[in-house]
Amino acid sequence: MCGGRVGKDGIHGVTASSEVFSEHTPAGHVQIGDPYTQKKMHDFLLEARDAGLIRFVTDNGGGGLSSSVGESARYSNGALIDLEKVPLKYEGLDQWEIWVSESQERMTVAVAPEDLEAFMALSRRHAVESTVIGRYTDSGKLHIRYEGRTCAYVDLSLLESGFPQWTFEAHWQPPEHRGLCEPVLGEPTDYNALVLAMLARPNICAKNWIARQYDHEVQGTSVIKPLIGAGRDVPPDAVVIRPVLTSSRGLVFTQALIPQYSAIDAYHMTGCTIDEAVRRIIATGGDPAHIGGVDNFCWPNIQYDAEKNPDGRFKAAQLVRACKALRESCLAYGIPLLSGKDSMYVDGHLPGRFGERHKVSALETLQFSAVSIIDDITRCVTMDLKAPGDIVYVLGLTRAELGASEYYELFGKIGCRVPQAHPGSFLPLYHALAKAIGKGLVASAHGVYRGGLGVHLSLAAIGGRLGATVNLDQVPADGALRPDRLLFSESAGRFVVTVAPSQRRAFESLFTGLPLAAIGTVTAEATLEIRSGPQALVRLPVEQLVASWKGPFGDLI
Amino acid sequence: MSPNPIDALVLTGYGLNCDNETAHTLALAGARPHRVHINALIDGEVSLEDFQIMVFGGGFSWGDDHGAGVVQAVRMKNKIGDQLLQFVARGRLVIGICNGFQVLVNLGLLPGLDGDCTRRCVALTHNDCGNFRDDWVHLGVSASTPCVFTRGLTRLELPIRHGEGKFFADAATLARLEAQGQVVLRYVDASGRPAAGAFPANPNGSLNDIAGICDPSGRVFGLMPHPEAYHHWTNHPDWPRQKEPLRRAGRPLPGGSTPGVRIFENAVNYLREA
Repeated sequence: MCGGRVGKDGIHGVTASSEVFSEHTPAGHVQIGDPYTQKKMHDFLLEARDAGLIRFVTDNGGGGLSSSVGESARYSNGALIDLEKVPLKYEGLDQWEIWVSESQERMTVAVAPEDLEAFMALSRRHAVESTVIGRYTDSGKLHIRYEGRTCAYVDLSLLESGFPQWTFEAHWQPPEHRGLCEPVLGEPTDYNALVLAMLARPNICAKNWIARQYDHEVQGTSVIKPLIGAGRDVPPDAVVIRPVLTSSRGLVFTQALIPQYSAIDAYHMTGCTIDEAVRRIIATGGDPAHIGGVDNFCWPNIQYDAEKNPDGRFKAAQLVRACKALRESCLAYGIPLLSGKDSMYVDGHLPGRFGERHKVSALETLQFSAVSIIDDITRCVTMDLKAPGDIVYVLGLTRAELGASEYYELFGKIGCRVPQAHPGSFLPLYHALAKAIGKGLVASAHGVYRGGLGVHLSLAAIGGRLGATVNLDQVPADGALRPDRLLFSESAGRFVVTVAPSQRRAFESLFTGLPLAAIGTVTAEATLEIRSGPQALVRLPVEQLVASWKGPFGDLI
Repeated sequence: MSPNPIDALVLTGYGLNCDNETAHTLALAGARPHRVHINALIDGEVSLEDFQIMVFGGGFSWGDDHGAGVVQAVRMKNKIGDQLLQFVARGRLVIGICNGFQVLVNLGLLPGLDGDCTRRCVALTHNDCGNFRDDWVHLGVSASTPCVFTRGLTRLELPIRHGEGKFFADAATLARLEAQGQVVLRYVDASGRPAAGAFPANPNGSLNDIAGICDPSGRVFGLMPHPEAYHHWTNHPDWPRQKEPLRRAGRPLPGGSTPGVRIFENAVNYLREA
């Protein structure tokens, strides 16, 4: 075992993160992170790896030694562990606590006996504590001793086959059966105030003050930083790093999270979240053929209980539907899932005004991370408008999909027609855009995400501190849509792209038969003008967009 | 390989975390970088005598306990303090970046007033803004400085990434540093005028906008910004906006040494000429 010592911290950490949190939750489950110890261990292990001193290595994460040794012992078919050898932070731990503690910054490493001396010498050089706590055997048993006395002697096969399959009841009710329907909402008349109000929504407004407080350039690999544009204050669609400094290849990384859609259907929440992550990669120049994903489930308890979880069957059905969508989307986009994680009891019991408790369950949430490769980092594209005179395009169809949108949320509504992803029909468009970016034909590219076109045109203008004049009537749409729906629908599969006029023909030729339309131009005058028919619905100076967007948090540094 | 190689030692270990890109930037500048664990110097397995440049790089050595750079300075002073003084006395070059700058002022190698390279008389303390901050800053190079690392540079941009970067000294010390040209780098605004303490151009509240100082000889240099983080033109936050007009005009994309690399090239050239 290498790295930190074992204490009572982190005992039952993983179980607690998957349990309803209450005042009875033991404080000891909190893991105490220590990046300094982590960094020293990391330096040491990389050097030991390069010297060929490591046969096997695994993290002491959930379950601590019980998990790391239990897993790795399967390779040799047995292990013998002497728990008294495990270095402790302080005395007083029971044997079982040593075995399951999740104290951080620890790795379990298998070292060949002949390499042990070199391994321990390197460990001392790096001032990292490493301790021989046992050895791998082929006994077929996990044998745990404390000062020579056996504490546990278990068939290894039990670790693999000893678990009964959990079954649970799931009952799906489609949204329309649950009484969801579109709100009756007349068309607004003050679009200027509406756009400004949307930009100030907590989920949309500027968060540059957060990213500024974190070192996002250490190791000198940064290519596209988490804050970009003329004011270096807008988040890009994805970040790019160049992990090998002598190479021209980059890694494109992004994340997507739209839990709101689960208020209607977790299937479409999942599909749209994955689609958003894919578009974020494509818009930045990432290769659509090399996308890898990581799924993180945050779910309320799905076990039905008439008293404590009366809607457990519905939450379980949401999980089933999300898993189906995850499978279908990943197959359609060709995304292998590299890793994943779940926290399955995201429920709380919050105190009310009269001493009563209210159970609150999180929306069924899948957070999706995506990574891809870009062969030449200088081909990266960012979302900020680049030059006056450039043509503004909208790619992809806008549909009347405002269910669970930010727009409806502004009015306290949910609606029913949630955005849906259609990977099969989206992919040709994504490949065409990737090709255009690869050929260097694109000045800026930005996906249309939460808040819709109205918000994301504004963000592209804020990014460039340039204006644009666009006509909503040109936006490719599924049927005739009212201007507020064109502006704030959150249909998946869409981008805003700008192209230099000289490259118009070459760009458009890649999109034959695909939903694409030029809707206006970038202007030197920093004003966003959105027209419909003869009318300017929106006419706002970009500085006013910035002021509203930054309003909620200001420069809270 | 050059017939006259310049060997540069880059410290590693104990939470330092900029050693890879520092070594990469030194290689771009024509030096031969060697990443060496602090304990390898202390054990005597590696000797400072074999190097012409020594880099105290960025990171969070000893977890920034007791103040950034404090423990590393005490440790190195106790174990190899004499070797460090000899290294400087032999005319070799030392650069301390961010956490490394904090170590140099705690060691007393900077500012090295009155020939005393052991006295701590300036400080790098908590940013006035109250937080760790990552941002690119504009820097002006003093015209009169003897610093060998900044020769030929007048203005440059580099990232800062620190929580304890506010340069502080008493009035008399500040006056002497200014008079002797030991203030090498200052935070300026985008047009090159002094930041005059104003955030965010001066990101931490440094007195006299000081971002970097040298010893009286100009061979020991410490700075809060990270030159090793600007080794390629795509490190600059504005590069996608700079690329667009070049691409349209059919002109080549930027190449050659970035200002970050030039700081290390200056060191290599100085040693080649010495």
